[in-house]
Amino acid sequence: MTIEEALTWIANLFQEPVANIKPETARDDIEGWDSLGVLTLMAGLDEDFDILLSEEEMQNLNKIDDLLDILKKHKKINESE
Amino acid sequence: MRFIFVDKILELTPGKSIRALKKISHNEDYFEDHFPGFPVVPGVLLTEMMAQTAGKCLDADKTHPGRAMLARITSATFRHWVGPDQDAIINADIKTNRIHFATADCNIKIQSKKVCTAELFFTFVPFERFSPEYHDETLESYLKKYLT
Repeated sequence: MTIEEALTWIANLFQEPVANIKPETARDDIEGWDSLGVLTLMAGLDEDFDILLSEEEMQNLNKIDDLLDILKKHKKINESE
Repeated sequence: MRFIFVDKILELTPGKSIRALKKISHNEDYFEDHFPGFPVVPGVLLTEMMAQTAGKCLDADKTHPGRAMLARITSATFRHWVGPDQDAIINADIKTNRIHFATADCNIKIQSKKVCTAELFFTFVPFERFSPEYHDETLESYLKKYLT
């Protein structure tokens, strides 16, 4: 998927308007990224992409770009698009 | 009002599936208000039955760092009214079972008819948050009888 599609996926996951989700958006600025949001994110990555995050990876997620990096690392984002 | 909505476990595969029974008596106190002349089990309590049942399946698994706790009702549908003096058979299939979260597809049947369904999302609360005296008697008696 493209980065735009990934941002849309993230927005839907956190139940945020797509316009509010940009690579530089910080975790603290996303209302849905609370403790339940973390679990929802883990479940979404698991169910939609077969990605299981380690504790360390979870702790290092502070902004949307960090999430995009995870998706890129697992080759879920086509960077050439 | 007590808040235990599972009377007996009928079948259990820890972490995978469970079938349980809740006998709905005409003496349930919520029927007095819900509603006069038209007693029906509130949808939220049907959902709680399903959540408690699925929770027992997860707790029986013993691979999690705490007790299963409902964190999100992903979806719930109530197809038919459930009245007094019914035997509710509660079914839960665990779809995803991870250390920190789990999801379950649940339903309740009355006389083999599916009356409600729900997709539920669970987290796990550390055991030390609960009173040391707290025991799930329904689950423990089943495990002792059938799975030891």
